[in-house]
Amino acid sequence: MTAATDVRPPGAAPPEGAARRRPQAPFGGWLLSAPLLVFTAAMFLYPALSVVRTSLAESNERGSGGFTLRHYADFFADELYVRALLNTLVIAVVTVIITAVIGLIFAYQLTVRPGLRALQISLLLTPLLINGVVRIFGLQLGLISVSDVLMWLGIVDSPLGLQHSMTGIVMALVMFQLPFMAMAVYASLSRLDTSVLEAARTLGAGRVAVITRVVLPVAVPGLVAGGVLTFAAAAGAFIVPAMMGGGRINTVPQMIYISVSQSDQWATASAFAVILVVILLVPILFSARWSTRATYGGR
Amino acid sequence: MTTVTTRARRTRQPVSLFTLLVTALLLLPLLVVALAALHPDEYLLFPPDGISLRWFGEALEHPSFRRSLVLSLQIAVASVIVGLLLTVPAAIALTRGNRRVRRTLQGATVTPLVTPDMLIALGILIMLSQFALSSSMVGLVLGHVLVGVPLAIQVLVAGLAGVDPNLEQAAQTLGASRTRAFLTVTLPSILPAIGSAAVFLFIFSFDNVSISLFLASPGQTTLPITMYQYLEYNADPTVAAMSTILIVVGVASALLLGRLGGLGQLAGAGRARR
Repeated sequence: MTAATDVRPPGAAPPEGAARRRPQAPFGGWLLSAPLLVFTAAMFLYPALSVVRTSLAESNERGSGGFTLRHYADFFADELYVRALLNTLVIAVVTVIITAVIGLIFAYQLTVRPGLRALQISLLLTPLLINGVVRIFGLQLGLISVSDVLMWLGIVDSPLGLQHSMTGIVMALVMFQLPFMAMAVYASLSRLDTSVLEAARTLGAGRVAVITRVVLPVAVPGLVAGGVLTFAAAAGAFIVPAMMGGGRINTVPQMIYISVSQSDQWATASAFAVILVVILLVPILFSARWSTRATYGGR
Repeated sequence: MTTVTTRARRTRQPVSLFTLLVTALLLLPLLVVALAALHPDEYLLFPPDGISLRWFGEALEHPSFRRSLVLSLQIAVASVIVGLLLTVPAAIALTRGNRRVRRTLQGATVTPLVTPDMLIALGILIMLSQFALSSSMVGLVLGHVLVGVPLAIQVLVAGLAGVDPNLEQAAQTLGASRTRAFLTVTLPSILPAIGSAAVFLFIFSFDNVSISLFLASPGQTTLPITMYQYLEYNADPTVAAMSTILIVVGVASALLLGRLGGLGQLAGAGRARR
């Protein structure tokens, strides 16, 4: 049967042999994928291995050889670095929680009240295309204005100073990550049949029960995916703590940057980077295991 | 399918006030910057007590802003070209290759996606120093391409998946060679997807902070880095005006992506590239 005689309604099941007729790339696709694979190996794999190698180097000089775990030990021996690690973890965890709560409500509302949905999704995604420095600058100006208004109203006596605080850092990270979280949860909730919600209500479930017993279980895959990526983004962020922390709140990414840019401590910076990656891997591995269990019916 | 359901149910769907409020809050900082840039005097005031466009001229005349804007544009254009040359063939391999090719490519694009930019940058910096490459331009372009690749691939694969393979088959049956059938039938129908991929590659390069911060050399800083360093010491209407120009670039990209149909793919990018 040739393609020219193959007349069938769109959406109908493909006839026998359709899989064979799917256009095949020459050499199974290896030739076409070669440029990207070589590029990724050269620009990601090799650099990543270089970071691990450098973190084990004897001295902080460029291209130093040898093998030592001293740079890792130094990290955990220095109170300043441990403090930075704790800051990073607190910021990341709090950001994930807040983003998840707002993202869940957002996605749920968009599912049950889909008016202007396309417009709202476009507006939600548009800020992601705008420069991060600009968005943080805008947030700082906005927070100063809010503080001014509150002082003028007599609600607070002194400026809030949110534009240079831990709270400010978390606010900025939530601002950056919320669209991703909301869309991840929204994708999960698209499997939710809204008539099930009505049925739950008819059968006497309260508002809270509907959310916790019906909506939340469906939202979990989106929350986990969004949460893992938000954690990685928050823990790995440099520019947000740099601009919103006002130089007072240190995080691991800032330590990495300072080690390289101010004192050329390559091995130290690389050890910090490896420690950061290990931290990021924890929720990724945890979520992978957890979602496997969820898929196979475990509780 | 979505458009059909939307049209069928268009009869007054309820709009959520919560989602409207959140969306507005996310857009508010941008509005604040744009309005602050209109203030006529030499300090920032929000809301402005006058309207003036003089700071837009000042921002574009400012020597270091101007120099880094030109550099950022050059790097972004180079990233688009290099990025498309890598991702278009890879996207074809992803849709038409065998299973092992597909799995390898997925691994190669997903892993950099979940790695923080600054770790990628540190690795590239160490590598460049190993090979004693002094030109930061090459490092910047390739580093920016790396972070733009996952989304570009995703957009292209979605575009290719939408093409009916029977059309290309028909062209071959009618006597076109395999290459010609692809170039004349499939390629034109994925042009919007290629356009979307190009916009993403451009904007991810143009907006990048973390990679540029590590790889830019003192004389050659990209615009976001110049603005970040400028903002450490002064926040004035000049930088607000430059920020507004970047907001316009971002909104223009969003509108363009809306036309090309790639905007929705952004949701799958997973996280902001900072």
